[in-house]
Amino acid sequence: MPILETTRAAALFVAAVAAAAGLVGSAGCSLVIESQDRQCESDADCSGFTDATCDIAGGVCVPRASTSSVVAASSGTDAGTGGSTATGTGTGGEDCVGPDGCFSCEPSAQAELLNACTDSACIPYDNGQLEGLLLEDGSVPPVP
Amino acid sequence: MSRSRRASPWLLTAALGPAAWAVIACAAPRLASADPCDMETGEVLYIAGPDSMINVLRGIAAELWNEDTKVFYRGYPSCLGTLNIVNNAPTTPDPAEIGTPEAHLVSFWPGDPDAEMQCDLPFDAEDEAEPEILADIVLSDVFPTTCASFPNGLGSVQDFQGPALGFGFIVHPDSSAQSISAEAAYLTYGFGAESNVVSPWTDPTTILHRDPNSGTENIFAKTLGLDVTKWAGTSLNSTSVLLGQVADATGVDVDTTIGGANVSILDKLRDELRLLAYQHYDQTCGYFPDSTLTSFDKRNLRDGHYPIWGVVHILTRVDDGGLPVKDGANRFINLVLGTDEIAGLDPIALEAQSGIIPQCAMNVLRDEDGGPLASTQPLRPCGCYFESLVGDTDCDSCTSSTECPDERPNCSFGFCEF
Repeated sequence: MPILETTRAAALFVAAVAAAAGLVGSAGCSLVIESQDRQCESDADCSGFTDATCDIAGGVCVPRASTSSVVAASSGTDAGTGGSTATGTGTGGEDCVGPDGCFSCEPSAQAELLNACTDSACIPYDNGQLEGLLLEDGSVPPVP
Repeated sequence: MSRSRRASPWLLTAALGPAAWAVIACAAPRLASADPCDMETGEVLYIAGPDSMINVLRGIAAELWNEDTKVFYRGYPSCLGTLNIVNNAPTTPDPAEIGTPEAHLVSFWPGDPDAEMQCDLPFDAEDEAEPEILADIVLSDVFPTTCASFPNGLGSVQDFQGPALGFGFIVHPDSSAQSISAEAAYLTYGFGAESNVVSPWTDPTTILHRDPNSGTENIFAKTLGLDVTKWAGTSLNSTSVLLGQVADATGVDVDTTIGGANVSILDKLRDELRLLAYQHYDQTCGYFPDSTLTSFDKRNLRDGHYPIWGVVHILTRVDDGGLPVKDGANRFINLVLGTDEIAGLDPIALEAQSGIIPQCAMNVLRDEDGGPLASTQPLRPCGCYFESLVGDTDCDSCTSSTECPDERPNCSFGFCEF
């Protein structure tokens, strides 16, 4: 079993962010990263998300109350829907995707902290093996 | 097939700690209660709670004895203690111990942290179930809001946050599993392999966990977002039994067995058990609490890569100014938090040796169990010093900040910190 350094392939991070975007969108969470360069040009483009506004400089939807490009996750009591996702831009709109996909700016919110660049060892768990066990949006189902 | 097994003595020692063995050794042959505690001489500080920071507690207790403050400590459940102190209610004996010599037994350390002694708290001899005295300090491994909603807050009780402690999923060292995601853990423990089966944890009898009253289980539950009352698999009321069942797994059970426990216990059992790397919701890789599987630096827990952790809460009654009402409580808390110092007493070292993390070494915080992480910068950071105590540190040593580079300008605890 390979033990990977966090300086890993960017594809993994992008894929995870994309997957997380699905979760976040369905949960009304606060930040969604999409594959195109800019997610929004105006607030209207963020109407699909709860109480979101467009950070025009960064081109991403952010929570209306926040001036940062990310926000803290919701409580973990909402399984599988808590947690924002790391953003590809920092507060100043700078590129925060490290060469290996980690979050390369100064982390402050949960998703940034979880995915911040580090030289610690890590071992990925492939949630693909849970296919069919999770809900369509990738979140966990309610327990009996 | 019965899977009940006796825990090995080494597991018991590691799980309960030497202090607990001292209690057992002293209590077992005793037919009558211990002598009554001396409640008249000096100041009495009665502390009740789990033993997560017992090494720190007894070190401070021994020092306070020399300041004429007697610390009496008894093991007590986190939430029961929290409810008692908020409601201004006395601690009550464990129902299982009523009528036994242990019912009112507390420990104290007269000047030596390795010399534990015991006495009986005051109680009504005519009624063994009579409540004991009010605790001056209650320790808890979980936030008060994990125990109850407390819609009106904690009243005059304040929660001082002590050292952080991690928790982790464990398997047999020969298990094929190396990591687990939040989603996989949720499915494994939420459905218990009765449905939504996650390989290799396919046997309900070897999906092991504690019970809803356990602080450990509550931390896991809050982190995963899995209702603590709905955990499936096999519930055990003893951590040492759980550890023994994982360590002693044989045959197919080597792969199917999984459990969870306090990292400070697991640090002592790395030859017998193996931690799984944990990948949280929205995280791209799984991490250990430490920077590697073999280190003890707790770096990932401290910097936000590893989210399964809580803190030891030190609850005490405070005045209008927010200061502990009892002088001894104020002194105890200040010593734990490093606000006060005593020559020869190093709480950071005691915590490092115990596998728990002083707040000054934490760069993340949260305000509820399993809640979102936020970055923080301690006023007097000790992360480098902490690392130096448990292994190596890359930080430069220093005697003053003038010796430190611009990128780490603050000399703190002998090292250049951010």
